[in-house]
Amino acid sequence: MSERDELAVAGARPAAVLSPTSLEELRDVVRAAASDPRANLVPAAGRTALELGGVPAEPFALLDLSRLPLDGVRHEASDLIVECPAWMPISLLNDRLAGASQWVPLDPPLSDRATVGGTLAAALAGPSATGYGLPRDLLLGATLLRSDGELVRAGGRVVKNVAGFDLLRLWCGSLGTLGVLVHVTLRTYPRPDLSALACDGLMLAEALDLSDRALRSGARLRSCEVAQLGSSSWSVHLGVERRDRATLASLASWSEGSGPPPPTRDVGFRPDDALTLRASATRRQLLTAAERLVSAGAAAAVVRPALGSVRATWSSGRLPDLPGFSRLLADLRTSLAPLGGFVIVERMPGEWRGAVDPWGPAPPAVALMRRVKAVYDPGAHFARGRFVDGI
Amino acid sequence: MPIDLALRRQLEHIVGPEAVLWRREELLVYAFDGTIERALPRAVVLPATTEEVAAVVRACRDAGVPVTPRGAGTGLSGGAVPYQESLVLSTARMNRILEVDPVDQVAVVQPGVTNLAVSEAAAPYGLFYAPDPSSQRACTIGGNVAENAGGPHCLALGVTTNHVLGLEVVTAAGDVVWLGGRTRESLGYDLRGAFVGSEGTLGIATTIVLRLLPKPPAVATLLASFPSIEAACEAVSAIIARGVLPSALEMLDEVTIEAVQAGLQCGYPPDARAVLLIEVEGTEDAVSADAEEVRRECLEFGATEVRAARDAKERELLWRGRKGAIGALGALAPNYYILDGVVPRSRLAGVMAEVRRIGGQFGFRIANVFHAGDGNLHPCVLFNDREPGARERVLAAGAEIMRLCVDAGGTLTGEHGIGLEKRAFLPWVYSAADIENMERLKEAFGNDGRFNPCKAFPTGTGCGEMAHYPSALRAAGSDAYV
Repeated sequence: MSERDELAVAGARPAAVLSPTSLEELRDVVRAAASDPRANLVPAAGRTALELGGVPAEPFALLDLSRLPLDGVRHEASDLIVECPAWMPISLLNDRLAGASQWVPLDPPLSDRATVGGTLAAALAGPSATGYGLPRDLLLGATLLRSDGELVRAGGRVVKNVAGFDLLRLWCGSLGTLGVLVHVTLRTYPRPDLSALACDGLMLAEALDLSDRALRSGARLRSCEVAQLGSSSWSVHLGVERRDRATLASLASWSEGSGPPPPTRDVGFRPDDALTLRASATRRQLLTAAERLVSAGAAAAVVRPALGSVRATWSSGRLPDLPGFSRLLADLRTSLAPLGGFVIVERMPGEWRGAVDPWGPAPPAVALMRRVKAVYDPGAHFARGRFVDGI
Repeated sequence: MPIDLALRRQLEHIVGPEAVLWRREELLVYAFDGTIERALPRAVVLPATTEEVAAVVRACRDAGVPVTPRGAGTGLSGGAVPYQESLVLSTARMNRILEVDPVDQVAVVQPGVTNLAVSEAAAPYGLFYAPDPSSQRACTIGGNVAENAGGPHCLALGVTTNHVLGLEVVTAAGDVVWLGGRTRESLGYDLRGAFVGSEGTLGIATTIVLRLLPKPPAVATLLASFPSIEAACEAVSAIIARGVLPSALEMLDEVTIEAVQAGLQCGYPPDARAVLLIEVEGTEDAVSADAEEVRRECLEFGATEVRAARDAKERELLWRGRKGAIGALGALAPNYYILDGVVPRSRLAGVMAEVRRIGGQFGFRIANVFHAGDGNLHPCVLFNDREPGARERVLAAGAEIMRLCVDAGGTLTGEHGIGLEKRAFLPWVYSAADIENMERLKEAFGNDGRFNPCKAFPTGTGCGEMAHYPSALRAAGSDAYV
C-alpha cells in the first residue's frame, strides 16, 4: 500500500486534532466536548492501531495524547509493579525497567511506538501473551477519564484484589469508547533468560501438533507461535526459558530462531500489509480457520495456539478479490460465532470500507453492551461509531 | 415476613412445589453462610434450569421481592446472607458437569458443581482446573465466579477470572445472555470479566465455561522453617524477586503451627516461629532448579530447616497441615474471626509485626495462615464469644488490621469479597466517585437495588444499620477453611 495517512482513523480524516499538553488541558477538552452534542473524540497516542474498528461518526476530533507529560513513573521492583501514565510508549517504559532486569511483557505489533494505554484499549496481544497472559491480565489498577471529565479509579496496586467491580477488564478492549485511560499500574516480571527456537518446513497440521506437544510438555513457554511467513511451509517459533530447552529437544529438530522480537510480532501491521484479519477460535477450529485463510492467498499467517488466535495478512499487490473475500469472511464468522469466536478485519484498503464490516455480526450480549456504553458515556462523546455494532 | 401466597403459587408453578421452601424450619439453614451474619429469607427457590432461574428472577422483580443468589453457602464475607428479607435463589439443583472437552481444554458446568468436581472430571485427560479455594470440596463454581475466588495455587496461575471463558447469565433484569464463549478473547466489551467477582449483584451465572490446564509433569513441595515470621516474609520477597514463581507459597505462623501439630500431627517442626509451604511445578529440570533456588533463598534468610516431600504421601501430609489449619484453630479457642487483606509483598514483614501488636493491644492471640506469595493475609483473631464484650473488641481489632493493610498500600480483600462484612470500609480504598462509577454497572444489568441487596458497596437504602456489624466470626470447627 502507498503511504498511510498518519491521522486517519479507519481511513477517515479527523476534522480536528486536539493535543493537550497537561492533564488539566485534557480534562478541559473532554469537558468542552461533553457540552457539545455532536462532539466525537477519538483518543490516540502511538497511532499504531488507528485502522482498527469502524469509521467514527463524523465529524470527529483526534484526541492526541502523545504530547502529554510522561512523568509519574514509579517502579516498585521488589513488589514487581510499575505505575505510569497510560500514554507512555511501551519501549520507553521497558527501558526504564531494564536497570532492574524487569519488564512489562506487552509486545503488540509495532511495540517500538505502541503505548501502554493504547495496547490495553485495543486489546492487542503479542507473542508473550502465551506466557504472561493477555494485556488485560497485566493491569492491576487504572484511572480513567470519563466523558463528563470525572477521573475514576478501579483496581489498586496489589496483585490480588477483589474489592469493588473489576472495571479494568471492561476498560481493556473498549477501544476508547468508555473513556481515556490516564494512569495505570501494571505487573512487571523479571526478564527471562530466553532461548528462541524454530522448527521449519512443516505442514500446518504437523506444526500445530508440535506446538500442542510443546505446550503440554511443562516447559515454561514465553511464546509459542505457528507461522507461515512468505514460504509455502509452516514453522513453529518458541520463546522458552533456557533451562527448559532440553525438555523440548526430544520433540523436534530445532534451530536457534531469531529474536527478540520474534519475526511474527509485526505481521499484519508492516508497511506493505494492506489487508489483515484476526480470528479468535477454539483449538479445534484453529486448523481449518488457518487453512482457509492461507488458501485464500494470505501472504503471511501467524497462529497462537494457546490464545486461540490466527492473524493473516495480504500485501497490497496481491489482494484477494472483494466478493470472494467477503464470502470467506462471512463463512468463517458463521462457523466461529457459535462457540464465541469472531473475526476482526484489522486493516483493509480504503475502498473496501463500507463493503466490509470490520467487526462482523454483533455478539449476543450487544444490548447489554449498549447499556454499558449508555451508563458510562451517555452522550456518546467517545469514539462513537468505532466499536462493535457501531457503538 | 412470610412469602406472599400469590407469589409462592407462581414460583411453585415455575419450579414445582417441592423446590419452593417457605416453612420457617426449612428456611433456618439458609439464613447464614460462612460468616455468622444471619438473616432469615422470605423463601428459598431451587430452580433446575436456566429458564426456571430467569422466570423466578422476573417473578420476584414483578412482585418487588429482593433476590439473593446462593451456591454452597461457604462464602466468608456474607455474600449469600439474604438481607431485606430476600428470597434465596439456590443453585444446588444445577449441579451437572455438562461437558469436558480435552481438545479445546474446557469444561462446561452448571453453577452448583463443586470446585473439586471439575478437576476430578478433568483428571482422566491429564487436565485440571487451577483455582483451588480451601473449601473446594464444598464450594461451587457459581459462588467462585461471584466472588472471583482464589486459593493456594493461584499464585502462578491466577484466580477465577483468569480461568472463566464464558458465562450464560440471567441478569438482575431477568434476561438470559451469553458473555464470552469458549475462546480466550471475546468480541465487544469484556462483560464476562466484569461479571466475575461482582458478588451476585449483577445476575446469576447458569452455565459456565472453564479453561482447563495440562497437569505439569513434575512437582516439588518444600517446607521451610524459620526462627521468625519476619525472616520468612523476607524470604518470600526474595524468592519472587529472583524470578521463581512457585505455584504455591503459603505461610503458617507459630500460633497456627501449634494448633496444627496438636490437631493434625503432620510433622511441622514444633519449635519453628513460621513455616513456608512452597510448591514448584514444571519440567523435571525446571523443578529441580527452582527447588534448589528456593532452598538457597530460604537458608540465606535464616531458615533452620528446608525439607522436601519425597513422595506423594509426604506431599499430602505437608498440605494437610495447611488445608486443615483453620479447623485446627478450634484447639486454641472456641471462636475465630478471619480476615482477608492484601499488602504489597515487600511490606509483609512490617505488617505482620503490626498485626501482632494489634492483637496484643486488644488482648487476643492472632493466628496467621495465608497466601504469602501474593501478599494475601488471613489473620484469624482467636476469642471466646461468650466473654462479654469480646465480639466488639474483635471487630475493632479486625477493622484496625484492615486499615493497616490499606495504609500499607494494599486492599481490603484478595479473595473473600466485600460482601456485608467490609461494606463500610470500601471508602478507604475508593472515592465516592469511584464507587458511584462502579455501581453504574448494576444499572446496566438491571439491578434496581433489589438484587442481592446490601452487598459489595456501602450504599443501598435500608442497609445502613447493618454496616456496623461486619463479621466473619464463627465457631471454629473441622469444616472451617480459608
